[in-house]
Amino acid sequence: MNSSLVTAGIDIGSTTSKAALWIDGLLGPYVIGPSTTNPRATARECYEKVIEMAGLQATDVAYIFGTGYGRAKVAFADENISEISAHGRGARFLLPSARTIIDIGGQDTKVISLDANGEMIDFVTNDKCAAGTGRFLDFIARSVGIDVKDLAGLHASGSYQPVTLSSMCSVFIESEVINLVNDEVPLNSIIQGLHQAVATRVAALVKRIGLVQDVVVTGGVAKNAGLVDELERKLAVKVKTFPGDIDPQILGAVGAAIIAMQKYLKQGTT
Amino acid sequence: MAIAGKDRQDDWEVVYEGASGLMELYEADPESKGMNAIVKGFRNFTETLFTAQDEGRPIVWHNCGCSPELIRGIEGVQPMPIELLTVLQDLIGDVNYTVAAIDEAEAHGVAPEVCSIDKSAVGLVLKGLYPEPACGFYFNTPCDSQITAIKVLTELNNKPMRMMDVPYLSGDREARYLAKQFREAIPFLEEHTKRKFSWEKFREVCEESNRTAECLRDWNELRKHIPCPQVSKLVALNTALLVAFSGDPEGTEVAMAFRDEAKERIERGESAVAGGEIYRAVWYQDPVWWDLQFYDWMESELKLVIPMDLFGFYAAEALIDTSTPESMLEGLARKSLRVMPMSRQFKGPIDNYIDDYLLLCADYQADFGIFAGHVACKHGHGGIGLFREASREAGIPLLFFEFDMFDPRVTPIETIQEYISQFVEDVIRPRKEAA
Repeated sequence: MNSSLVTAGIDIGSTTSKAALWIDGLLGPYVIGPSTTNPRATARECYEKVIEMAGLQATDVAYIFGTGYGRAKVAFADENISEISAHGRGARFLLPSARTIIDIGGQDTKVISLDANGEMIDFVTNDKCAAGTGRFLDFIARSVGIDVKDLAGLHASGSYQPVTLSSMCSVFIESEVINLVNDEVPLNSIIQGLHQAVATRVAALVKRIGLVQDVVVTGGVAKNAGLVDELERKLAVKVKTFPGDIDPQILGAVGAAIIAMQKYLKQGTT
Repeated sequence: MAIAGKDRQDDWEVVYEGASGLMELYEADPESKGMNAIVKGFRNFTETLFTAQDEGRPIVWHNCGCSPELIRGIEGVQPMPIELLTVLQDLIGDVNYTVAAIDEAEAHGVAPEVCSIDKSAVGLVLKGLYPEPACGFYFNTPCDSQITAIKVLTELNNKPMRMMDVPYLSGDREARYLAKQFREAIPFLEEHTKRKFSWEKFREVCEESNRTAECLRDWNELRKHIPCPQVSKLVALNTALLVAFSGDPEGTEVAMAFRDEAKERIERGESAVAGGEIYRAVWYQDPVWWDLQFYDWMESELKLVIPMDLFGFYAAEALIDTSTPESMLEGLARKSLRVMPMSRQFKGPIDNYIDDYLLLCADYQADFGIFAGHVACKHGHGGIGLFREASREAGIPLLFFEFDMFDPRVTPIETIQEYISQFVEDVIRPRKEAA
């Protein structure tokens, strides 16, 4: 391998696991795969895959940071860091104007607030309830017989007439949605209503911490354009996207890889 | 060793044994002057209370919004804060007794959202654990929960009570309004204690109160030192000192011990945190009284020290002017309005509350603030949005979480530790490193 500086971030989430390489200040290859009951093996698998995609050897990677729910299981990482720090630092590095980062993951939702210098000043999480998370959307999609990936398309189809869902409890909302389907309410209206309900919940979390622009959305759910659209309505702001169309789902892994790069360079200078 | 006197119950024995055990522990450590003094103070207070009962002297119940100097102006009368046994159980006894008292009050019909210390007070009275009062002398501050508890207690013990109406603002006009009520309360106290109020005795009490205040002010200054010379948990105890010991030489002794320990440790170049402090935080709202070891954990595990909190802060207001009866009453009113922790912050415009916090963060050079939201303090939570906004504008990171300061069932200590660890790790450490 040449003298490139390569660092890696491994994000073991509750639903998906991600690995990304940061090569000479740019995003290299990345992978996204399902999380398994063996996070240690999943982390290794993602990592091996991503270095293979880059045509590298493990010895070419200067520093590795693990992050996410299963970060402690990334046994081969030099260090690990919380997903809150990884998303915060990653988002700031890629989009310096970012001040509010909404990370909607499989299992929880986090809102991270950065000050004008890009340092994290506060964060809030909804880690005690599944409502409003990726898993919640997945669960509801399955209960009406569609793939979670189709939610955004359905949201955009037909006219915009979201139904009002009275419950946000993951258990009770399933029966409410099934009743609406049985009452022949158009599916796009139900999905719009679902996104609206989730957005309302996330917006409340944002307001707890204080909304400061620019706002970015990260995590797997950020790829659901319907939900992002509802969030923009609720927050009355335009959500920014990352330059180069970086997949928002890999922000944790990218942030970890960037932190690994910064840490490696700092060590080299001390 | 048991408490001398009659009608003792297991709950009091637990507290007394706790105090005695802690005294032995701290006496063996010459560097724990402050802790030793306050634990000794608690034990002496317990003994004094029961001695008064045994001698048939009148006991006047009061609440934590009330600084007891006026009661002490009557020779031989023993003041007793209704929060006493709850605070002692949480701090030095066994918190399970508090939990049982809370459950007792809720079973009696006290609303669950009432503050746990007030529910516990009701529970303790239902269990017959407090010596019977001659009367009650209360302030309608710092919160509505206190008023609820006082109403229930008055119904239960069927004794006369006088409630001071503490106004919303804290200016001179309000001080005069409160002082007038103090004057009117004197005949009430005399009637029900069957003892004579003495202006000379009151002057002595106010002078003692001023001596305590001067020590506490010096102590507040000394804790600004970097590194903080004394352990974090001491600041959490200051309110107990003020409520139980204002006007009592025991209070001055404890305050002097706080001050002298800080001074001596600074002179010796000692830090509260073994190995050196890394982080400093101002703790706002209420302390974790049911687990003082939690403060040791912050220091040893996170290298985080609390140089000051809302309960330890002794506001730099004027001392009580003891030149005339009127000046003493007004001075005590000013202390009640502008100094007593919680009473100072929890009334009036929210600016008072936020400004004190920002002042403490600046004076004590805090890296961040911890808003430990005691669930019953609805008046505090109501302002959290403004609080966050002010913190953000000042560039001071603020950790907010909910817990109950007397009941560990609401938020377990492990959860609180996790909140603080995560905030330090994700927010504070990177900021310190970047700086």
